[in-house]
Amino acid sequence: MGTNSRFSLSVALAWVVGVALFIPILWMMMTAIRPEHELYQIPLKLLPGALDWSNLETAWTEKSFGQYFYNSTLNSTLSVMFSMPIGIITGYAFSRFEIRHSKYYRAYVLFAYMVPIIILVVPFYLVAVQLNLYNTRLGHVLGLSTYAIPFATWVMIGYFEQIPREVEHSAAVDGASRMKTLIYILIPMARTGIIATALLTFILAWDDYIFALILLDSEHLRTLPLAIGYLSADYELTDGLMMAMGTITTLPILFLFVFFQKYFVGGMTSGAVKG
Amino acid sequence: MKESRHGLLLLTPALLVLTVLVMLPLLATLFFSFFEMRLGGTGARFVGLENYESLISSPAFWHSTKVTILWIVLSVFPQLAIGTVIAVALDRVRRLRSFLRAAIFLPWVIPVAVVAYMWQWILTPETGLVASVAASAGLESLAAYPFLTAPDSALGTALVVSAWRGVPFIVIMVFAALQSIGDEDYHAALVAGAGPLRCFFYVTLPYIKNMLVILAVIRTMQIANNYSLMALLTNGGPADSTKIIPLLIYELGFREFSLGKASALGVMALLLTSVCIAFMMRKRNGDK
Repeated sequence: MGTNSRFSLSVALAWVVGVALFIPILWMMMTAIRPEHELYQIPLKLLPGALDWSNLETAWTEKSFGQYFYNSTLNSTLSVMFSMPIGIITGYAFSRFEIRHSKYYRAYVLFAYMVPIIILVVPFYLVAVQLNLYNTRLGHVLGLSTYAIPFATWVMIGYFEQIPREVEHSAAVDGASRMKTLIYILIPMARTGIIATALLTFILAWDDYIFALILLDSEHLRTLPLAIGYLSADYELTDGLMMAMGTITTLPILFLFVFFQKYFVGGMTSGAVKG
Repeated sequence: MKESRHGLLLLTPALLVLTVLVMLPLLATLFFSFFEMRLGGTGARFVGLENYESLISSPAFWHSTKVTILWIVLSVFPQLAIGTVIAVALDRVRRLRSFLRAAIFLPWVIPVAVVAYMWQWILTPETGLVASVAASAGLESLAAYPFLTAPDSALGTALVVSAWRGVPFIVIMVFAALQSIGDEDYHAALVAGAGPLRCFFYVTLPYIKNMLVILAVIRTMQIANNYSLMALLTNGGPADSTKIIPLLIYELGFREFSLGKASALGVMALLLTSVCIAFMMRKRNGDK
């Protein structure tokens, strides 16, 4: 059957692409745990012959990636904690209240969501210096929030709109107040959306390089992407150590991605597109 | 009335925060663009449109504009085309479908700093992965080729890296749109004797056309304004061959310390983005 053979050609193509896209990431991680003498052996071997954790250990302790890991985790988490309550309340308000001129407020949120970060950088830097927020954790978290908050808000609006309104009508008949309806009915119903949005906001914040670059100066405040940015100019690092640093920066995201797989795709296709 | 006021009350935190964190800095950029301001200097001098004039008359501005347009056009359309083909292929996979979808999606969530760093290393002449593979295949000149540091190839190489990260995004979005097509539609077309190409153009494409247009706009905005990937991958070099506008903004502001000029360029970049934003808003309202 002609059609069938073409269909399996498609299947083969999809698999080849999947594997090809994955190889660079796998290669990085394998290099991080490969013994030094195996690095440049020909022919290439994907899997290391022996495991060597020394690069990861050196990166984590000597090269302070443990500290940077802590900074990235804390700053990203804080920006998620700032963003989510605002996102939830705004999504709720837009989807459940008849607000006059609602269209314009919505456009305002969408606009804020789409403003390019690079344009905010100069004034943000100046204000941060004026307010003594330069080179502080709070300053960086606020910088992250300039995109984390519009992002979370925009995606949450989409999720709340998907929840049918009949739900609250029956709750209202039962005499539940609006606040109770939000807390006991809507938020549990929007749970998938809330988890997906929080995850994607976290990843967005984890990815940040530009705000860290302009707002953070001290070494002990550096985040993982900033540290990597500085290190790419350091030619004394061995390949194994470099890739160990990349691996440390990637693993938490990979972990979230694998364990919360179903939330990701749902979140992505609900309007989560800032990149 | 009361309804509207309660709703507005709930919107207040978001509107307030977005105003302080996004709109005020944006207005500040517009305001600064009319002043001569030095980073670390004292005071600012109103210069009217001078910053804009000096940008328009500088070759660096036109060079960056040209590179940016190339960068956008050669990123967006090939990525859309490739992503659509892969999405259609993925749609036909039956076994391990979700697993494969996840594997294809993965590059999109890898932190941009790691993407740049990893590719620099993979493309290192003589010792990188590409060089090792080329050397094993006997292609010595390819093994020695400095992909990211030769002016002829840096932009092209950056386009490949951008595609590595961007195509997965397109695949996931188009794949989602494909799920709305019923099997009956394909059957009808197959019964009518349509080959796979005709099936694609007459059955698939009409369903995903809207999604493709939206993706083209979104990806344009993402690519036009992304400082980090290019800064970390090539830092604009060699010989400015990859200096896109976001990099020029950063350079003007934080290396030449000319905040007024950096702001003026930011405002000009925003104009392009505004066209995209206006389009997105109309699209959204039209869909309702």
